[in-house]
Amino acid sequence: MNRVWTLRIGAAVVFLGLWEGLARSGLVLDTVLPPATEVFGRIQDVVTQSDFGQDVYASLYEVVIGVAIGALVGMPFGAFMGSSRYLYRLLDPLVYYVGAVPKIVLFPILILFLGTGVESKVGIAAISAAFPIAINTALAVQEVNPMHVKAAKSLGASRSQLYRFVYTPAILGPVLAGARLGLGVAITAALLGETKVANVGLGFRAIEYYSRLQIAEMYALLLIVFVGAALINLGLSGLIRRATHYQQQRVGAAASVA
Amino acid sequence: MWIVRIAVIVVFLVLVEIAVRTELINPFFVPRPSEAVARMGTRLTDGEFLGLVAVTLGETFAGFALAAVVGMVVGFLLWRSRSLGDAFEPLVAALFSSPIVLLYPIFLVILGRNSTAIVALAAVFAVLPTILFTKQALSAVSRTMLNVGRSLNLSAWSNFRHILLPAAAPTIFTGLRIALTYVLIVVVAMEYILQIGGLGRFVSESSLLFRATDLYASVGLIVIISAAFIWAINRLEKLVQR
Repeated sequence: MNRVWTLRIGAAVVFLGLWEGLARSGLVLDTVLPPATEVFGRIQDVVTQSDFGQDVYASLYEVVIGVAIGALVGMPFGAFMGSSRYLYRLLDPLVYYVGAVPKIVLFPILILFLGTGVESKVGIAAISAAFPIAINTALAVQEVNPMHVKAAKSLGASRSQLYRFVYTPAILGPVLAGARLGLGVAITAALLGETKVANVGLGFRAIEYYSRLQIAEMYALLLIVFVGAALINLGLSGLIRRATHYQQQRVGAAASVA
Repeated sequence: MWIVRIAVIVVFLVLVEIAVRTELINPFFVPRPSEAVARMGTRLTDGEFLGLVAVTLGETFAGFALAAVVGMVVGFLLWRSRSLGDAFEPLVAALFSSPIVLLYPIFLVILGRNSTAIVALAAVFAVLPTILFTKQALSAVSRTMLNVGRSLNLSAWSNFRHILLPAAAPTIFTGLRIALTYVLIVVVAMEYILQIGGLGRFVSESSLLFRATDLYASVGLIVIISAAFIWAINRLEKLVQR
């Protein structure tokens, strides 16, 4: 085994060992830090709860519909913004500044319009996802190589052929990468919204466990959410890389959080 | 350019004003923009409200200071030891794109439902870009420059102070700017969710009491304050790099 994996596994063992040791030592209350073994043991209880399927469904519904709406708004807006140098220079700073605002503060306004059900969570997920998608689409359209467009035109490409064979392949990678970022922020936004006002969903359930002092269940549920989000993220970036050979630069990824 | 941008915003607000006055938009949900803007003015001269702004900014600076110090030290260590860097840089990058904010109930359980938990969560989130950018900044410093220092027999400290640091500073600063933006976002979001602290709490209370004018005014002020904040950091970055 090489050194890198020795270090990684060593760190994981030390982390879990400290967690377990600290929790069993009696130095901290069980309601603050339950032992690692207990948290892992509770994963099965949490998953077999009768409400679990419903919670997963509600959260997934909010995130997926939210990202779809965010893409339906963000992509055309981004394409419009990127379509001319002037529009891009005019709108980019506005989108950039508004994009860096904690969008969860718009949640109470969405509740006024959409109510306290899943719709308001779909709304906050859509708003959060729209920003990285719009920003990436605009940037991608701006950066389509003008030589490619000229070459296609001089070969007699029609307008629809231009879109089909020049623009679409050129912007596909960055746009999909924007969608992945959008999905990430939509997960955070929808579940944060659930922890504030909701009666179903994984975020809501975590806060339920918290307020009922079922702390080991709360840790287990958050672990499931965290691993689930990481798997979705990893799977998507793998798919995108395969489909487009495009890798989002980390620097450009800093669009928005919540 | 900014005149056109402001004109775009003003036109939008005027359209909303007309829509609300003609009751195209339900005035119960959306106050007149003119009223909301006027309310922003009165809030900004209201000592109590400015106190809330101060609380939010205080939490932001505390979280940022923590993230900056820890992040730069860890980033340095990941650069210094090649195997540590190889082993843990991908982990930090993976955490950077994961929903850390959703772990906030754990911070509440451990640290209590207070500002400390908010500052800690913000710092944990913001430490990640700081680590990544510090590590990348140091890795990008060319071997040749370091060899020049060595051939001049510079001490380890002078080598660090006069060669490594100036070469890496611009990229590290980019990381710090992202960190500061993240801290502000997490602080305001958590204040809103938990209804404690500064500006975020004010938004939450206004919505619970159905004070629509205050709600829109405070959301608007948060947008303006965040924008001003980011603008200030960008200016500072340009000044430092000159």
